[in-house]
Amino acid sequence: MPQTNNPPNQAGQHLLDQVRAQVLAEHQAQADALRQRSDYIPALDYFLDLLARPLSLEKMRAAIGRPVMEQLCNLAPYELFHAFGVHPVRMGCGCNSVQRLVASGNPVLMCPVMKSNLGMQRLHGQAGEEGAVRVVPTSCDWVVKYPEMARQDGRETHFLELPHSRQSEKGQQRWLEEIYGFAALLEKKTGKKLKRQRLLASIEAFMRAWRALQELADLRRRRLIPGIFFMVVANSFMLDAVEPWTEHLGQLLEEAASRRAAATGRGIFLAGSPIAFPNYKLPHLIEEAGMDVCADDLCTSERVLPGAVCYDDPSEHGLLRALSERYHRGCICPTFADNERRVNSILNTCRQNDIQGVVYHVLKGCHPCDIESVTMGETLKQHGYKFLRIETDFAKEDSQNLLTRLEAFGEIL
Amino acid sequence: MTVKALRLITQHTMFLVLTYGGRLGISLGSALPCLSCPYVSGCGGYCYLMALQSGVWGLAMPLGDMVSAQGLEALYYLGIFVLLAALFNKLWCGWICPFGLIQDWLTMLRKKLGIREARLSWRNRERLKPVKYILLAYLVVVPLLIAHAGLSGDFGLPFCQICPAKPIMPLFAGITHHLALDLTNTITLVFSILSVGIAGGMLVGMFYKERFFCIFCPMLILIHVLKKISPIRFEKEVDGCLGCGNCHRMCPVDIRDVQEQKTKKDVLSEDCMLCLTCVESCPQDKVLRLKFLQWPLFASSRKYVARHFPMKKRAHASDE
Ligand code: SF4
Ligand code: SF4
Ligand code: SF4
Ligand code: SF4
Ligand code: SF4
Repeated sequence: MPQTNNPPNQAGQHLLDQVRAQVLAEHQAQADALRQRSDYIPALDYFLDLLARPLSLEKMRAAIGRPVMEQLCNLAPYELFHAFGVHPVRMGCGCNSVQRLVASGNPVLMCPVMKSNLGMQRLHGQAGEEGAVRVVPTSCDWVVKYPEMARQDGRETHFLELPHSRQSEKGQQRWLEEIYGFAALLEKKTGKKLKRQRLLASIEAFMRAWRALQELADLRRRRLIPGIFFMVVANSFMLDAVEPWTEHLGQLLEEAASRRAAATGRGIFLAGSPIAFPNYKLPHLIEEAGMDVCADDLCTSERVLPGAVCYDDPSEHGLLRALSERYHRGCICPTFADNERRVNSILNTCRQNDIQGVVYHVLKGCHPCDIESVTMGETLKQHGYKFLRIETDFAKEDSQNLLTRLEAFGEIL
Repeated sequence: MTVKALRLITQHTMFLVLTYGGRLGISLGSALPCLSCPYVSGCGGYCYLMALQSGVWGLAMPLGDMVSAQGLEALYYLGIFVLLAALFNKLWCGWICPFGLIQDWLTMLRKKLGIREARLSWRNRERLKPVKYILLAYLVVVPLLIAHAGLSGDFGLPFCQICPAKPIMPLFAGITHHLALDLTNTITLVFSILSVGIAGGMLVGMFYKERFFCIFCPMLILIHVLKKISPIRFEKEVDGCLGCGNCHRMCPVDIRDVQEQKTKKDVLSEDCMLCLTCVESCPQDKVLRLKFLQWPLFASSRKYVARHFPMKKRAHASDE
């Protein structure tokens, strides 16, 4: 039963220290496991280093040298933050051990991603510092209720009200208004005016990042790098400023091209709920079962960047409209009401890359994905694809059971 | 080279040929499916709308002439028009029409100035669609009335009288007298006021709204009716579309049909000018494509989008 009205969880200092040690160990263990692989590419070091330390907004602010704003989901345009000199970061945490801190005082069947986020906030005790804003696109119920669950941290919340219908003129206009409102908020918070040239430069900066990530995606589609390495890179997006991140990705691409740490398993498409470092349980199990994720549509992986922002009208309004549509109309998150075309992206990718099977990941408590997995499975099967739905969380207990199912799935591919 | 660059080169080449070609002895005939205006002296080819409205080779021809050799000649021009319009179809609009390019220049200027484009609501955009049919009806009926119902010859070439190309295009050949009022009689006076007024209004419209005149152009429908026999095909692989809306936003004439089509392959819609901007900006591999019969000419791809957007390299902004 939801208990959101209870007083905040007063974890004692001892518990905090204990959990902190566990969290560090969990991150380190995952990073080490990846580094010890025989197919490891040394240029991944930069990305793993970013991931291996649990995310703290304060430390990040110091490292990047820019004000940092927390965003709860990819739907808030990076380019807009960036145009105001603000660094957005998504607390897309996949930490299991930190969830202990929120075990009481919150709904039991809570989305694990949110549980981890909340735990991480508590761990760092990030009480509301001056001007800190949490940007919350109202994508799913957990995200919407997150500020309420994080009640004691005193952080200001800015909701971006997400119209769940993307294909109607009304929905598109409402989202554009939200984007204008968001720009106004950023103007207020930073004391800067929105400049068209800066927005253009931002769009280009993220475009370069997207372009590089696409090249990496192509490598994994062609089975030239293991899928899990792609995930490492995508997961680390915005854990550093976008420019150095893109540069390092360029180096990785060069190195990967010369080394060719080829994937070995049969290629599958991974769809559904997000997977974030250090919780790589499912990708590891998929590999163990003789398969490899060579494409996905997770919002922490291939969809971490929404894609090219194509604009025809380079006026300020034209750019904001292009951004707004790219993030809203062009998004295939399961949270949308008119989302029947989402399956097209999976079909297309599978067709063009000779992928026969789709694994659909449902995080326990992730309702949009849970609901969608049913119809998605039906449609994909109708098109002749093999489909496996995996419902799990961050805990390791079900690993053996999942492995058995995945192996059976691998056999029929 | 991008398709956009190729298109710009083609448009400018054709502009030179069609505006000044006559001076070099080039003549592409009198049945061109684009607004290459004969009022431009020394032009390289004539817009078919003039022939169509005229009493020489068109609808204003008296009954007697129709059954003579002149009637055959009229048929010959019609045949040439049908052939040309079928062969390239809307590519005439997106790639060749000089009046189309004028509109694109105004858009380029607006973009340079950073002025936002005027937007039409979906509803208003739909409401404007029938206007070109009304203009076409006007263009057909008035000449017939002249030929068969005794309407004054001052109503001759009724569409040319109000076509914005008539006062604007001759300016490129240094001819300004189409901007003057024709005081011969009331009809000519009214027409000349209308002509200049419409051209002025259109210039403003075309500055704020890309290809604003094309929304009303009767030539577009004449070309469109020949789609069925054209070897040019504009197709969509419907089950590859994400509904991202790039094709709608990027389209100069705000066509929604490409995005919204969920069942049929053919997406060459009534107002489409085959500028291919949507194909260039569609991020899905091979979802949109232009074909000549069964041969693909150009198809959308994620790689193309990644390589070419944003289209112009810009210096890093430092305007703070
Ligand atoms: S969409 Fe799913 S995974 Fe994401 S926050 Fe909501 S419930 Fe959690
Ligand atoms: S629709 Fe536009 S481009 Fe086509 S003929 Fe008319 S004016 Fe020219
Ligand atoms: S005035 Fe217009 S319709 Fe008449 S010939 Fe010239 S371009 Fe064609
Ligand atoms: S640009 Fe392509 S994917 Fe996007 S809506 Fe249009 S046809 Fe569909
Ligand atoms: S639908 Fe495409 S090809 Fe047709 S006018 Fe619009 S952008 Fe150009």
